[in-house]
Amino acid sequence: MCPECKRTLGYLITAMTFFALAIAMVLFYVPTEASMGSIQKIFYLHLPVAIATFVACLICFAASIAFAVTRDMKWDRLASASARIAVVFCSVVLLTGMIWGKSAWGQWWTWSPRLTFSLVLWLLYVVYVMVRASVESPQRRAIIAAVYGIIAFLDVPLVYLSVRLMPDIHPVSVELAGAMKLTLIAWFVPVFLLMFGLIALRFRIDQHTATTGSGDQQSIAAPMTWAGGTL
Amino acid sequence: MSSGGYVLLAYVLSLLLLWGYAASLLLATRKQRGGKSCQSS
Repeated sequence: MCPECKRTLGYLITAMTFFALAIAMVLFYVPTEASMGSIQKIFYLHLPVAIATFVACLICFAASIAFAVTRDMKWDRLASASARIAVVFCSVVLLTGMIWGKSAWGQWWTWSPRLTFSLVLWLLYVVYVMVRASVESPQRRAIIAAVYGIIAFLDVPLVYLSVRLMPDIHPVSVELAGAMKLTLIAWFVPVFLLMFGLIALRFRIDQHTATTGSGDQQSIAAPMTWAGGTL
Repeated sequence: MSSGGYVLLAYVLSLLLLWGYAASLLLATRKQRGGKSCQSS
C-alpha cells in the first residue's frame, strides 16, 4: 500500500473510531434531558455539523478571496472542494433539524428566520456547484465562482444572528450539564475530522484531474451528480 | 413514532449521508487511478 493510501485509510479509521466513541456516549453515557426527553439527543450531532458547515463556508470564502487576489487555481480548487462539503454538511443540518422539529414542534418545517436562512444557505451552495458545472472555461469558471463564493458567505452571519435579532421558534442557546457538555465535545472531534478529511480528499481529486487533464469532471471527479450540478 | 425513533432516524440518515459521500469520494479516487492497486500505480 502506498504512503498516501495508508495516510487516507488511517485518517478515516481514526474518524470512524471517534464517531463510534461519540455514538456510544449518546447511547450509554449521556443522561436524557429532563424537559425535552430523548429527542434532545439529536442536538449532539446537529450543532457540530452546523458549525462544521459554517467553517466549510468560511474556507470557501477565504479561498475565493485568495483566488481573486493571486489568481492561483489551487485556491479555486480549495473553494470548490469546501463548497461541495458545505452542501453535504448543510443537508445533514436541515435533515436533523427537520426530524427534531417533527418530534418537538409537531411539524417537519416552519418558515422561522433561522430555518429559512439555513435553507437559503443550502440553496446558495447548491447553486454554486451548479454554476461551476455550467461554465466551460476553467479561468472564467474560477472568476465567477470566486465572486459568487464571496457573496454567498454573507448568508452565514445571517443564519447565526437571525435567532438573536428576530423572534424565532429555534432555541438561541442551550445550557448543558457536565456529561452533556463532554458528549457535545466528543461529537465535535469526528465531525471536524470528517469535514477536513473530505475537503482534502475532494481537493486532491480536483488537483489530480487538473494536473493530469485525465477524464472530464462529470464522470471521474464527480461521484454524486444531480440536477446538472456535481458534488 | 416515538421520540427515540426520531433520534434513531436522524442519526442513521445523517451518518449514511456523511459516510456514503466519503465512500463515493474514495471510489472516485480509485476510479481516477484507473482502478489500479497502490503498488502498480
